[in-house]
Amino acid sequence: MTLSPTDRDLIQRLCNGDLAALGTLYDRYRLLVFHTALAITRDRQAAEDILQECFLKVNAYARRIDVNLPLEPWLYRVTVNLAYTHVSRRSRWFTSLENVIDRLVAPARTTTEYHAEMSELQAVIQQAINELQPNQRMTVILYYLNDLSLKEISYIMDCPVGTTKSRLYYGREHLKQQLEEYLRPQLGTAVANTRSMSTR
Amino acid sequence: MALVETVDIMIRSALRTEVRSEEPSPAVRDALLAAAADENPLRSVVGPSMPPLVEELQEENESAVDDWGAQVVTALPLVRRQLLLLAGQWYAVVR
Repeated sequence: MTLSPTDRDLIQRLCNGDLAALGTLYDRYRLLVFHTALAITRDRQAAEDILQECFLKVNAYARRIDVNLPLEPWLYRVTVNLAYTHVSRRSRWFTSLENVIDRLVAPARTTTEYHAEMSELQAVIQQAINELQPNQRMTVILYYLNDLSLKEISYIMDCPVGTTKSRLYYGREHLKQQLEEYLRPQLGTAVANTRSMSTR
Repeated sequence: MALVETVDIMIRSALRTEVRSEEPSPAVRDALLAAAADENPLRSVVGPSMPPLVEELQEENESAVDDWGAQVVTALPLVRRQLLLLAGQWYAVVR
């Protein structure tokens, strides 16, 4: 039985010029980097560019990476920095939430299937995440998508735990508010239906 | 279930559903390895054999330089002797 090489082995091999080790590291962590970049940018091309750039940095800085520490937080940090640069440059992501909801609600009412409603709800949440400030957005994504702790997020985003906590709180509040706005008409209809049934 | 928990579940589900089935194009891997090989010409995609080979060549070069240096050092007294002889003959002619 052959054990798969550890990250430490692979980085040391990379330091000795073995680019096959970079390929193995890429295979191991590509989804972690790609999914995070995609969730932040919501742009497939940008996420692929960030993925490539991130592993080029692994190659360039292999000698400076501390092999005694886990590689994942380092990769997250690079990914988040690259994604932050991308979203900061892009201004068109500040779209009106109302427009999106109007567009989504119209066709969805004609289909009563559960899955259609769920995908509609997901679209509303994703759009609401897009409305967040970049730092709040990245905190929310790292917390919910990657299941990272506040401490880990603080390291990745290079800020105090209190700041991370605050960003997560305000991000969540914003999302909750948008969800309530979206769900209120449906809840109102459901309540009205319940009342009419009870008066029969 | 508390509203906060419901909101948490919805956010988590929405984020994960969006990216779950997404895979980067295989071309990204090829482009990465090609770019990495370009960035450091001493490194090679074929494996770790390149740097030791380069080191070996450097060592070989260094020993060749040392040998040449030793030859020059041993040759110098001869050259000096010949020059003195030539200088002596030239001096005799001039005188």
